[in-house]
Amino acid sequence: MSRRSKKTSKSWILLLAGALFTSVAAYFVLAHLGAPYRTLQPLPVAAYVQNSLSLQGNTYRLSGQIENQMLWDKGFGRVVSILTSEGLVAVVFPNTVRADNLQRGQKIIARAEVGDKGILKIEEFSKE
Amino acid sequence: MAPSRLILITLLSGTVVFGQQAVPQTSAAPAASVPEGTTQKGVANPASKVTGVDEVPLLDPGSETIFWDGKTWSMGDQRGLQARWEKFLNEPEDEVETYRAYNDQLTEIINVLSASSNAQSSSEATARAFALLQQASQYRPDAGLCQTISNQVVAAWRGSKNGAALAAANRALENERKRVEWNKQVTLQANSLAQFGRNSSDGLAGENKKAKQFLESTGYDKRLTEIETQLKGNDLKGELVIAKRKLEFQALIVQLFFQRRFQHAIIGVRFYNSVYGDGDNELQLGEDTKNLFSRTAGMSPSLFTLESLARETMGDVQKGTDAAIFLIRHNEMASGARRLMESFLPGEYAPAIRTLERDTKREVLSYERNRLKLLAAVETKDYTLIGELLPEIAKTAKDFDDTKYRGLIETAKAQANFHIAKAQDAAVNGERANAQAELQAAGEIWPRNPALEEASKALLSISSGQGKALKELDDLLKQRNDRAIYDQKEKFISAVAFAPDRQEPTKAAIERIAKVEAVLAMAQEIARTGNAALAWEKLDKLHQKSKDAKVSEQLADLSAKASEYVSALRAAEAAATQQNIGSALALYLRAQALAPGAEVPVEQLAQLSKQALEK
Repeated sequence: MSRRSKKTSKSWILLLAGALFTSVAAYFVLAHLGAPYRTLQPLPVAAYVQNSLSLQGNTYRLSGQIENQMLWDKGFGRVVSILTSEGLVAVVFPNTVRADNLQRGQKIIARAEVGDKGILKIEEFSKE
Repeated sequence: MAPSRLILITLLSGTVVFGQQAVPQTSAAPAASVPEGTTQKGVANPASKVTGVDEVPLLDPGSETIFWDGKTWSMGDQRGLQARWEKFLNEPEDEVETYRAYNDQLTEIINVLSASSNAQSSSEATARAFALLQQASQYRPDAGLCQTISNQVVAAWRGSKNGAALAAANRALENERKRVEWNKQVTLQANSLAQFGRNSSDGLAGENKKAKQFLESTGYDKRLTEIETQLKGNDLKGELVIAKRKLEFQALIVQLFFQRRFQHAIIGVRFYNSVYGDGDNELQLGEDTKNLFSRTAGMSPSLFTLESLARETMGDVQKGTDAAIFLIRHNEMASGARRLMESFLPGEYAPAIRTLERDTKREVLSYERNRLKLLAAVETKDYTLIGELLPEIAKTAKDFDDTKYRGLIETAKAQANFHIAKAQDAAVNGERANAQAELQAAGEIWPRNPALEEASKALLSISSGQGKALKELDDLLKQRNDRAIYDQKEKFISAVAFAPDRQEPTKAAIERIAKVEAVLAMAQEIARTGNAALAWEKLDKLHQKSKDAKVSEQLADLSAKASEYVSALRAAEAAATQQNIGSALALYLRAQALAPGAEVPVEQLAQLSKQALEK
């Protein structure tokens, strides 16, 4: 009786571990597959800061936290500083992008294009 | 003004020239008697010349000056007059009651002598007036003048008695002559009858010769000649005695007139007319004085003229004194003092002047002293004192015209300061001789100029140490070395005290560094709190305006401490210059994060954000 009980316990532990691994793996796979702009390359912040002109015309995925609204113009839009994992960058939210209720501390993921004079313009974004 | 002009002659010369006409002198005494008291007093030697008569001083009332002996004298400043004027202003007024009684006495004498008409009453009136004269001489204000007149009257009377004695002597001599002539006649007839027949053969010529020899032997002709001579001599002496007495009396009257004792002069005239009632009133004066009388009084000099002038002057004095008192009461002291002085000069002994209140005179004295101080200050070119005196004078003399004095001060100040400024320039430029010459010129214009003394000291200093300091300052100003000027500011401030053209740039240099020092102190304090980046920014801004070495030094020190911020800022600036707006924005954001509170990133981010949004 005792030998049979030990065999049964081991089986259950292995089964649970396998199920847990499967669940975690499934979560990451699903999470990756469900993330917005997952097809876009993340913005190389260091390179951008060093010379934004060299990245003109490129579109990147930008994720970070809203640090400060630097300027707002009703006719044109707003300029906001974003704290990325590599540092601060300034981005323009044109009026063409619906950007209601942006405020400090909000995390966003955006598709941004390095435009004329290296200015980073948000084309689309979502709040996390 | 005519009396004033005459009186001035006496005031100036102190001498009355009288009777310059030739008066025969004789040493022989009259045959019958020698007149008593016959002297030459009061009779001037015609050969003598007295100052002030050959050339008569002329008063110009308009300018208050006297022209005499080729020179112009200020009436108010003439020492003798001024002394008398001041003495009068300090004297107490004569006791009014006493003076009134004395004045009444003099008036009565004049009236008594004026009232006499016929010979009888004239004699009585003269006697009464003579008695009053004695009484008047007892008053203190009279100063014994009535006694002098009295003495002169007595002398005149005695002179008349001597004339009578001479007449008696002449009568006796006339009788003697008649007696001798009779005797001669009788003797001649008796002698010719006895000898005519015996000597007929000698002829007529021989007869005459014998008669002549006979008469000579009797001495009748000799005696007759002596009598004739004595008679003529006595006639001459009688005329001389009267003439001398008259001259003496006239001398006294004129003397009294020129002493401005007009009432006494009038009394003298009246007594003279009483004693010598012969109608001869002509004054025996020198030609110049006669001419002066004629020109000023419009008539020939006589006792009547003198009396008329005396009365006119007394009236003028009274009116002038009244006007002066009125002006003084109305605070118009300048005019009041002038009117009073004009009245005082001819009317020193007039009742109106003698009884003037002492308080009024003291007010005038106070004004006069200030006026004299003012004149002295003008003479010595003490413009500071003039400036102090003018308001003082204006307090009591609202009519005092200070325009010319103020003009004088302004002109002198401007000229003196101009020379002092030139002296300072010369000293600063090392032109010692020019500086001294300019100072001397300034001193001649305004000897007691307070600025002159200061300038002299300053220039002395400038010419030694401060001259070098100014030279050094000039070099530093050219180099724009504000720091060096600031570090030696005490020396340079002292040096530029008398170099006005350098004061402004020196002050500006010192102020610039003072501001720099304030920013440096603030930056040091910020750095001490750990915000080296902000401190650096403060100094960097300052460094863009000032190339002060101390700023550069501290900026370099802070650059090391805030290198990350400085790098970010410099990179941002470079990016902005290249129109790399994206990078510039990111870099300024980094700089701002490194130095919270820094102004440059904020300003630049605002500007670049605007550019970014427009695009």
